[in-house]
Amino acid sequence: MIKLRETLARRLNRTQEVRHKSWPVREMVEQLTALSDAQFGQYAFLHEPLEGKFSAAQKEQYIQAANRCGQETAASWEARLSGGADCSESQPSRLLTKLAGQLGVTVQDETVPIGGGHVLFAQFVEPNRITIFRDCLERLDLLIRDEGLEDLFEGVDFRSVLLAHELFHAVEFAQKDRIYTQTEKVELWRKPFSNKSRILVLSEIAAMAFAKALCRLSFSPYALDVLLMYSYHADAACALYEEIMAAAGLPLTQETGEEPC
Amino acid sequence: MEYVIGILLLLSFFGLVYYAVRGGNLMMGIFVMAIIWTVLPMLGNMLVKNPEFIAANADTIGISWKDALTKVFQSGPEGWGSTLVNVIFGAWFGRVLMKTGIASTLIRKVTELGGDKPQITCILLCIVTTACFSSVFGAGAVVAIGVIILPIFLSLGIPKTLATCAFMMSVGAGMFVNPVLYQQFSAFFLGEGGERLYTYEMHTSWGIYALLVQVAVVIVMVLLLSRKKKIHAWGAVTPADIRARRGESAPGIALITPVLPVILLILFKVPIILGFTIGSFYAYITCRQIKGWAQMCRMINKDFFDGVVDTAPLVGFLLILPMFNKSSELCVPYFNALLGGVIPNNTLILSIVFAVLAPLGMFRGPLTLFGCGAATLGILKGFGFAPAFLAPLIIIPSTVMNVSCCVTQSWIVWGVNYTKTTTKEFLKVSLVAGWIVCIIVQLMCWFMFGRA
Repeated sequence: MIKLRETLARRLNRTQEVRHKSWPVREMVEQLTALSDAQFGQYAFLHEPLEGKFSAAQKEQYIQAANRCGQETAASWEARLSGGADCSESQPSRLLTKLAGQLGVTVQDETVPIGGGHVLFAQFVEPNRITIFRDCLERLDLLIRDEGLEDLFEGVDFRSVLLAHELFHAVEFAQKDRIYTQTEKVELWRKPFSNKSRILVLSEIAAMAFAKALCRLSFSPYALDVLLMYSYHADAACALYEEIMAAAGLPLTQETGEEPC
Repeated sequence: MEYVIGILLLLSFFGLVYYAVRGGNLMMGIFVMAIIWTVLPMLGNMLVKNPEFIAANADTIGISWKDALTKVFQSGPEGWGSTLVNVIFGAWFGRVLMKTGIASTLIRKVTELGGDKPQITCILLCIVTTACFSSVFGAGAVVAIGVIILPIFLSLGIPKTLATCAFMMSVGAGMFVNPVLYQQFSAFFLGEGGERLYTYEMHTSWGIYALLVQVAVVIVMVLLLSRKKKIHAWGAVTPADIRARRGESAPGIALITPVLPVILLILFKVPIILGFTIGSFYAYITCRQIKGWAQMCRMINKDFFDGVVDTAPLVGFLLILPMFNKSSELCVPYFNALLGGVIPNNTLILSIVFAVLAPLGMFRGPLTLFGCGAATLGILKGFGFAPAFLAPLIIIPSTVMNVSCCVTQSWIVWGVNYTKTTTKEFLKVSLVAGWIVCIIVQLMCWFMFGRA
């Protein structure tokens, strides 16, 4: 049955595949790690189901506010966990373990492959369970070694980045009545009817800012979308890279002088 | 001798079920079955001595080898030609809905209505999906709409198994009135002269209620299962999927297009191919896609080409299947001899048996017309049940258990793979939900057609 599933899925996916230029991995990483949080926020909004309801100016405001929320939440938890002492030198993984303990969250690593059209890296299941899919991390390690990217990611613990991102969702769950990403709402219906909705992408933007702050990264964890996808589907990762650059206002066209390999 | 042949046929039938469950290539499996089910009864015809058996089945037993081979391997696939044409037009219409941005706009508008309320948005999107697939047919269309809807479900925190199951069952609900699927079913109910014994009016007279029952079960399923733990996942989606989701924006007036062919067919008896054509041009015009004659020709050519490509994986299967259907007709006397005393000929008992055994419609089993059900139907036809009763009896498990719930259905395979749901998790939900739908609809159809 598995064979049949795979064959049919491959056949169906083939009709959906779009060919893209392939970009050198190092070049993609260098470009992506140079992008600002605000630029990645524009990419994040592509995933927002309510994206069509917002103007460019509104999106910018939301992105700023969500990033600020993630950074402030990280700072406040860092201060709380260290009891007020300066912990900028302490290891992120230790801090995250403490945070998980404080929130009563259990963290488990799964080794099952999670590749395909929709690649999963990690997940938080309410109320208190985080799963890190190790398969993508192992592939990422290999990719970094094969491509010689160690110098670009010196000291980065990718598992901690995934964990920190998911821990933000746990924090959100614990503080859902007062954290910005849960309280900020938009009216969807016309008066006299009312249906106020959260803006889901704000959670993700804030979670990335939270992970970036706690793991002391110099780049947005959103860059990992491309790298982690690359290990499963190089073509899709290159397309994703193009999508991010376009959303960031830096489309990879002839004018930029950049040529795919 | 008739019992020996009957037993051999039954063994080969179980062999096919085993083969299908193991994931063997169904097209080839069915082709081999067509050969076995042609050769075995023809050998039996030469060897049977029982005068009563021969007299009762004179027409079938008297068939020559040449006529039998022509009936199975030539007339069978040829007779399916008209169905195939409908499938292709349906796939073209599906492509037009994607290309004009009607499907993505509809989905976006619905999502903007529901917002972050997972249950409301999920239910609304399921209803839209059902509406779309009341006309559209084809794996390509399911995939094209699935890559928009499934990520929305997941981003709302709907558990992946529920997301996949709700979407696939919504697709299946629309299939209850889908004219393209009806064409495939109606080919099983043709008179001696090739006339249709089971009309679209007969089909929709119960199909519309079956659709509503299945949608209601999906809604209950969403309400019950989405209360479970909410999931926030970090993952990446291929940009093609994002582009499909964003798509071009279609005007409000164009949003009725998905149901236009079915409405034209039900209310004004407009033939379905014309309905698809009118629907497609309505979409092109209202979405201002037509800018000149040459551009229009290129666009229609391209969309038709894409539609045909979408149906390509199904074509081989759809053309081999009628060989199997026709060969099952040759086997009817032997199945009758073996199972005639076992199979109930009371409509209520038969409806109850079909409701209870509905899961046998999975894995191309004996209760789906897209599998071994062709043989079951052949046996039941021998009892002289009216098509108005017999058709829903077998179409219900075919549409629910096979088309909506089974992991041997091409687009369900894709969906399960796309959301990373395991087959076991998917079946645990789909089997129960599908079974409930089958029980309700079988009883409803007995009340409508079985009591006479």
